[in-house]
This record gives sequence, structure tokens and C-alpha cells, in this order.
Amino acid sequence: MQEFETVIGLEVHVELLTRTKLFCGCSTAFGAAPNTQVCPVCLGLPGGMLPLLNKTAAEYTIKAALALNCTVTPNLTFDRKNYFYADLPKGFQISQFFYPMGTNGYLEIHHNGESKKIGIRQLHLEEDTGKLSHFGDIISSPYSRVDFNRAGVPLMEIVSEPDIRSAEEARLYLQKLRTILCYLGISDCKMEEGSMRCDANISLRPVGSSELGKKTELKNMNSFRSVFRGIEYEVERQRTILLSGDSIIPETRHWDEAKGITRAMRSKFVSADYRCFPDPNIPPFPVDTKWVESIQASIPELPDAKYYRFIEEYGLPPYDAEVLTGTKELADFYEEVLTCYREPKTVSNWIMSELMGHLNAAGIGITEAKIKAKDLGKLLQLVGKGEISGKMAKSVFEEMFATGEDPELIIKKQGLAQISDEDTLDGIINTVLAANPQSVQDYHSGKKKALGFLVGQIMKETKGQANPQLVNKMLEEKLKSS
Amino acid sequence: MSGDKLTAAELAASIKEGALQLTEHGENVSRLCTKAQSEFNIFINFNPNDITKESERLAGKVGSGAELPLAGVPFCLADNICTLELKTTCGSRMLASYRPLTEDGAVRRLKEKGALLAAKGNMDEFGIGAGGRNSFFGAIKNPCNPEHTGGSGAAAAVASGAVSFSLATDRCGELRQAAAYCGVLGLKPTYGRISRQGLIDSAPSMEQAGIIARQTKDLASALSIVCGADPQDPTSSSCGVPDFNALIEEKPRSVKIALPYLWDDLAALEGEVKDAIAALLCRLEGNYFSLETVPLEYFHHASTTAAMISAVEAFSNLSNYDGVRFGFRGESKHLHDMYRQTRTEGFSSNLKKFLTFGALISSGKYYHDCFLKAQKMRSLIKDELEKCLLQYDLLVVPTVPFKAPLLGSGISPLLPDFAAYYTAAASLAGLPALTFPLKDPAQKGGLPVAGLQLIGKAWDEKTLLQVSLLLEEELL
Amino acid sequence: MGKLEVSLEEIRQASSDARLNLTPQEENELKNQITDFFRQVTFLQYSELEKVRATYYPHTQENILREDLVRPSLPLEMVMLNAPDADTDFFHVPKIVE
Ligand SMILES: [Zn+2]
Repeated sequence: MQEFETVIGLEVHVELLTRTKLFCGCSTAFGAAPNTQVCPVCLGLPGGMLPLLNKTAAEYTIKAALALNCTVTPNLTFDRKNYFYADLPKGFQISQFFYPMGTNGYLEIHHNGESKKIGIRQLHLEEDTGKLSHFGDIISSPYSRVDFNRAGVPLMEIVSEPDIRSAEEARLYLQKLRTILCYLGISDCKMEEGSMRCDANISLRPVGSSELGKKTELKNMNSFRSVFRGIEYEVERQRTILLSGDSIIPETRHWDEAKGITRAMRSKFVSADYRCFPDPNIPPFPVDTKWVESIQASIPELPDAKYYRFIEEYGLPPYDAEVLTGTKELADFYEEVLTCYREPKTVSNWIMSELMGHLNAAGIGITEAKIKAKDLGKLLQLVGKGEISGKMAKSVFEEMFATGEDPELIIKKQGLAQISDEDTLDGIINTVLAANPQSVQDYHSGKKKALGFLVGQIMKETKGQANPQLVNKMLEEKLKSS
Repeated sequence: MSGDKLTAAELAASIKEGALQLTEHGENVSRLCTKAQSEFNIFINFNPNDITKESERLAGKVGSGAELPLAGVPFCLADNICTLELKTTCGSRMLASYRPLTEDGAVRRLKEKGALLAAKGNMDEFGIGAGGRNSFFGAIKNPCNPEHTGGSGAAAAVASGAVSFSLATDRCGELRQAAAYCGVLGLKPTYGRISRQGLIDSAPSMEQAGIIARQTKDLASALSIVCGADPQDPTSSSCGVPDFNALIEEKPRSVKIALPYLWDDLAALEGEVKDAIAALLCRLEGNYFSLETVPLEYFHHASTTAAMISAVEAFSNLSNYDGVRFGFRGESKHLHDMYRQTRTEGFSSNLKKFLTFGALISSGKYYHDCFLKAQKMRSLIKDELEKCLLQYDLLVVPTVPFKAPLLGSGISPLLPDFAAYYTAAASLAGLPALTFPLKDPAQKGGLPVAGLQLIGKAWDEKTLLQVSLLLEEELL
Repeated sequence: MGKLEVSLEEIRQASSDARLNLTPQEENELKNQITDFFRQVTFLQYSELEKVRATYYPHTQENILREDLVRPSLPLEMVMLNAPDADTDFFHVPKIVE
């Protein structure tokens, strides 16, 4: 059977975390009443259409371009993409068609310990559109209703090269992109809320061929999971068609999450010719080196740099490094714990199992957690010094996670401190030995199981607070010498 | 007492001194405007009560002792420039009842300085062309001869004596052409001089507000007020604005003037216009001026170049007329049909053809073969003009190749636009240009013969005004 | 480059893209106008033009940027002031029916 190679390019739109729209001072805040965040500029009203570029939006996009290893344009320019649609107030969208903010960059994905660079063709700034809504469904609604609150909100579009070879790589690319943009603090990249949207261009070609096959554009994937599922489905659909000897119809297809299939979209009224030309209202603005340098200086250590540093500096396995650098907040948390307790792998284990387990169960992120990094460090210190057992530590951790309290306080309150004092333990061991002469005898006659029984009795006596290693050691010494 | 003979500054002074009562003056302006409106159809949504209200408002301001260099000076505002209190129609059915939510920056400045907004000027739909016959509100008559076009209400209002000056826009030369048709002065300043915030423009890269007046001093007074940077307008310039009132008092010394070689090689150029210009140029020689003929290779491509660029920009800029948020709406159950109905019924036939032309030459192969080539030709025209103006103070050409066309002769098509033959170059290059009226002394009261157009260096409106004053006071 | 000849079909496509209905008479008039126009614009044939840069703006400007500060939006009644069809808070448009 013929083997195919999957070729995927992703077009990702993210909303930028600016306070105002791209070309006017209207707020971008979510949840406002319809048409209350609009003005003559973003409504495209005659006599009020002069666009004034949001400096922060420009800086965020330059920041992203730098972080994605792109070449930054020497001149900020904007173009008009002309088409008619009810959610598009001006009859054109202002975008960067001819000179995108960044070109020719890449990002790195890590998969099974291997790294791969995915090319970024371009990254540019453009306006979002308004929203159409209906009474009930579109068929029964007498007309469409339009809200222009989102019209003109800054969107950054990131277009990858067709370097992605599987649904899994697509998911990893998207995740890495989100991680980077979140590190930069320029978007919250929430797919479910629409602040990150992804379209995929998908085609197959015979293995060994360097030509691109006919592609479909897949839209309407609203979560990382649906990107993965949608692409998997579409790749299989195309493979089946190609194997049957048919050819792919180049078209736009919709992912139907509920049915788990992709469907062709009719697009009768979308003009293919956008007649893009430079917006005569926005003269080119030079992007000088000083400006770029100051933006560069504001970029924090990025996930890949952190990933390699964690491996190098802390000797972590790649998997741990990948997980811990998944968000800047988690990485910062990890490193703060390390300042109190410098056992990188132990700390990593705790964070990846206990902390992340609890976070997932509670459905919250690290920033919303009550537990403080310093306190986790303190707790691990206590374990390290043997003042509490690992098992106890877990129950202390539980309390810390729930209340955010200092671990020492919790230990004191619950009387959980481990008994490591030899004099105290000596007395208790003597009492237990005196009460169980049969077991002592069994031990001496070679029944090693008796030791376990005696330890259990001691732990019971101390309500589990005795330091088990110490108890074992003292008990054995005592029995041997008796 | 009519404001007809006084300069704007003299009129303002007599009002401030109390020699002229504002209410009485307002009634007079109202009477003049009403008469001019009934004779020449130069205003849109004209209401004499607006003038009364406006002069009452001003009376309060004058009483407060505010500094008002234009106190009571009546002006007309082309109806594609927005004010908050009046409708703005752009001469189109599409906007017949449009209430703007923004006020033009230049208008605000004029009002702050005491100027009296008399009425909105009738105009060709969206200011495209100055044939004066393509307004939804009827043809604009020429006060010098009502059989002929007035070009624009803004120019005709000034010519009729109803107002001291007008603020209008100039796209490919419409302001200058209309002023020449009506025998008054018209100045399109350097692109970026006057804020474009509040203009309903159709060709953003060329369109610029300017002033029409009867006297050079009034041009200077109004210009001193309306120019200046506007933080709301990304195309406005922070270039310093001189006090033109003071500057025009200085006499220019030995102005070097360039005249394009073969300037009169145009079939559409009327003999009368050519002769009047040639005669004036002869008289200029030696009197303060030195005149030289220069070869300009690209100047004669300006009007076609501008037609292509402005058509594409208009196609895009007028795409917001979709019947959704404002303006006329045609009825249909289907969104895209509604767009078609709205735009088909809301725009005139002439405009529809022009917009279709813009859509055509920005699509497919035409994008490269027409639109892009026009933008390249624009570079050549601009560079050539700028190079010429490094050696000369001014370039002179006629303003329009012909006198105001007859109104009965049907609507002039927007393509090809011979009226813009001489005016489009300054628009493409963003340079200041002034039209100076030439009247035939033998034909008193008749149609003006021609306009002499002076094209200056960027930001050098001063020289244009100085030369204009000199022509006005000493040579003609 | 050969001579530009515009067809009625191209004019119809352009007017349709611009969401304008032209009557057959208007289409013909426009075709003639454009044909005349192309005949008049001799520079479209200049091959030297290829090397020339395009000028989209008369001057370079310096103040296109704005700080990211929220300014008051329009009150709802002003937003709806000119709307041909709207309720108190939404614009109404015909549906897209395919
Ligand atoms: Zn806005």
C-alpha cells in the first residue's frame, strides 16, 4: 500500500492583552453589553474613520516576532483587505499584508526527548471583526443581530511553514506557541474562550515527494483536543480518498466536534480577490533599532532557554524540564522552592506528582493556588532532616494546599512531628518489648517477621509519629544485644 | 451693511467694536444666503434659522470678551465636512439624513475664533469631480452666470457674496476648479496642513481641506486658524504654522516662476483660457517675477494617474456604505442583496461607474497593469515637481482648461476627467496650490475667463499667498 | 505588455465585487469610458515604470502611534442614532441565506 506523508501548516490568531482596540481608544474588556465599546473609528462611521495605531499592540507583536526568532520589519505598515460582510464595519479589514511585522522565524517542539524546529512564515497584526447573533438558530431567527464590541480588537496572526507532520506535532506546536506568548504576557491564549483560534492547512503527499499535495483548510477547532482530533480525522479522510484513487477537492472544511467529522463549507459570497493595498490613512512608521532593542530587553527567559537550562543546571530529565517550564509561573515556583531546598529532582517529583495532581483535581492554575513555594521548600527540608516522614509530609502538604498555612504550624497543630529523640524512643521500645516477650523470643528463634510486628507496635504506641528508620535501627540493636 | 467688501478681519473688528450688531449682521447674512440659495442652489439642508441661532450663540461669545479674530465672519462648509449640529450629506442620497458624531477639527477651530457657520455647501456626490451636476440635491449654478455650473456650493457661495470664505475639500483639484469657475481664490494647502479628522473623504492619500475666498487676506486669516497638527489625525503634520496674516504683508522679491514647456498642448484647452493665461504671464515678466519654461516629462500624466488612484481609494473608502450602521438602506431579505440594493439605490449612476472602475483596476491583472503603475507614475510626477521646485519658487499653469461648463450639457463623466488635467499633479504630490481668478474686464459680470494656478513647495503656502496678494493689489 | 481591453464580463465582476448593480446601458457606457481612458493613458505601456518605486503617501508622517489608554466609547443612543434598522442595543441585518 502506498505510504503518505502528512503536511500541515497552522494559521493561529491570538487576541492581544491590550487595554484598547488596535486603532481607537475603545476598551477591549470582555463581557460588556452589546455595542457599548464602539466609536466612530471602529464603527466605520463617515467622518470619523482615522485610525491611530495602539503602540502597545505594535510592541506586543514585535515582542512575539523577536521571541519566535523572526526578522522584524524595518517599517510598520498597514494594508486594507477589502470585502463585504455584516461583521466588518468599514468594508475592509486593516491588516499587514505586504510587510508583516515578523517573517522567517521558528519555534522548537520537543517530542519523546527529540527536538524539531517548525518554521514561522510570518506574524502580523490585524483587526478582529464584530459578532453576529440570532434569536435561537439562524433558520428561525427573522434577522441577524450585530454587536461591534469586538470589531477592531487587535489580533495577531502567526502563520507556520508547512513543517508539521502529524496531529501530535500540531498539538505540540500550538502548545509551545501558547507557552511562549503566555511567557511574554501578551495574550492569554485561551482557545475555549476564543482568544486563541487555529486553522489548519492539511495535505498528504507520497513519501519521498517534495511537491505539496492539494490541501484543505480546516476551521472551527475550539480546543487543543479538537485540533488534534480534527487533524487526525482529516488526514484519515484524505488518505482514504487518495488510496481510492480520487483526488482532494481544495476547500474549506468545518470540524464538527459533536459528530467528530469534518464537513465542507459553502462559501458562495466570499470574494477571492481582496484587492489589498496600503491603507492611505496610515503612513509608514519606521521601526528603529532602539525601539526594537528596548522591546528585546523586556523579553523574559523563554521556555526553550529555560528547558535547556533546567536540564543543564539541575540535571533534570527532559520530561521534567518540559513539564516544569510549561508555564512561566510553574517554572518560577519550582526555582523558588529550590532556593529553600536544593534537591532538584526531589523538588521536581513533588511538584509534578503532588502539586500538579492537586492543581488538576482542583481545576486551578499555579497562580491561584494558596500554597507558597517557600513553604513547600520548608516542608521538604523537614522531610530531608527526617523530622517528619514522607507519608506525614503528604498529609501536611494536603493541608498546606487547602489552607496555605506554614508547614511547621500545621505539624505543631496536628501534633505530627516525628519522634526522632532516642531517649523518648528508648523508653517506648522498652515498654513494647516488655509487653511482648513472645515476639522477642520468636525473633531470637529466627522468625524475622516478629521484627515487623514489634515495629508496628511501636508505631501504634506513638500514633505513627516515631521515625521509622530510627525505630528499626534501635530495635535491632536492642534485640541483638539482649 | 454687507460683508461683501470688507475683509474678514475688518468685519470682525467692526463687530467687536460694536459698529455692527451681531443680530443685525446675522439677519443680513441670512438674507443674502437665502437669496443665493434660491437663485443658485448652493446649499444643502439650508435653514435661515440656523444662521440666527449661530449668531445668537456668537453674540454671547463676543460679549464675553474672548479673542475672536473672525467674530461674525460668515463661512460656508462643504457638505462633506462634519459638524455636530447639522446633517452632513456629501451630496448623496446615501447620506441624505446622516447626523455625524464627530466634528471636523478645522471647523472647531474656526468656531472657537468666532467664525459664523452659515450653511453647508452643495457639492458633487462625495466631492468627486466639480462638474456641479452630480449632487442628489440638484445642480449648482454659477453666480456669475446661472446657465453655467458653479462647480461647488462652497465656491458659488463665496462668489455670490453670501459668505466671506468657504472650507471645502480638494481631491484631484475640485476646490481649485470650482473657485476658477466662479472667479474666486482657492487654496489647497500642503497635504497634512489641515487635520482630516471629520472629513468624509473618498481619496485619503490626496484629499485635503482648503479655503475659498474673494480676497487673499481672507485666505490668510482662515488658513492661520485651520492649519496645525492634530493628534487624532495620523496624516496631519506637526510642521510649524506661521502667522500668514503677518507674512503676506511682506512683498516677495524676485519670484522665480517655472512654466511647463508645452503647457498649452491640450485639445481640451479653450482658446480664451489659453490667451488670458498667456497674456497674464507676459505681464508678470519683469514685475517682481522671472519666468522660465521648463521641460516636464510626466506632468501631463497627472490627471489619469490621479483618476486611477482616487478610484481605487474611493472603491475602498466608500465600502462602509453598506446600510448596516448608518445611511440609506435598500430592502432585501438577503444580506448581500441588501448591500447591492443599498449601494445601487443610494449612489448616483456616475459614482457607481467610478467605483466599479476602482474595483476593476484593483483586481486581477489590472492591479499590476493599472493601479500599481499609477502609484509608480505618482513617484515620477512627485519627484519631477519637487525637483523643479528646488530651482523655482512656483510652477504656474492654468487651473482648468475651460470656463465653467454649461449646465444643460448633461452630466460630465468622471472618466476621463480633463478638468483635473492641471490640478491633479499637486494633489498627487501633496503640494500646496492656489488658483487666482482672471476676469475679463471687457465682460463685466460675465463668466470668469480662467484661473491661474500657482503650485508651491511643500509647506510654503506663504509664497503662494504673497504672490496672490501682489497680483490682486498691483497687477490686475 | 499588450493593450488593455476591458470586457463587459470584467466590468460585471467588478461591479458585483463592489456590490453595485449596473444597468446594461451603464455597463456599456462604462466600457466605452474605460476603453477611451486606457487609450488616453499612454504610460501604462511604459516598461521603464517597472523599476520605479510606488508612492502611496504624499509625505512621511511622524505621529501614527497612540498610547494604550481607554477613551470613552459612544453612548448607545448615539451608536444607534443613524442606524437604518436596530433595536436598543443591536444592529439588525438580513440573514445570510445560502
Ligand atoms: Zn472604537
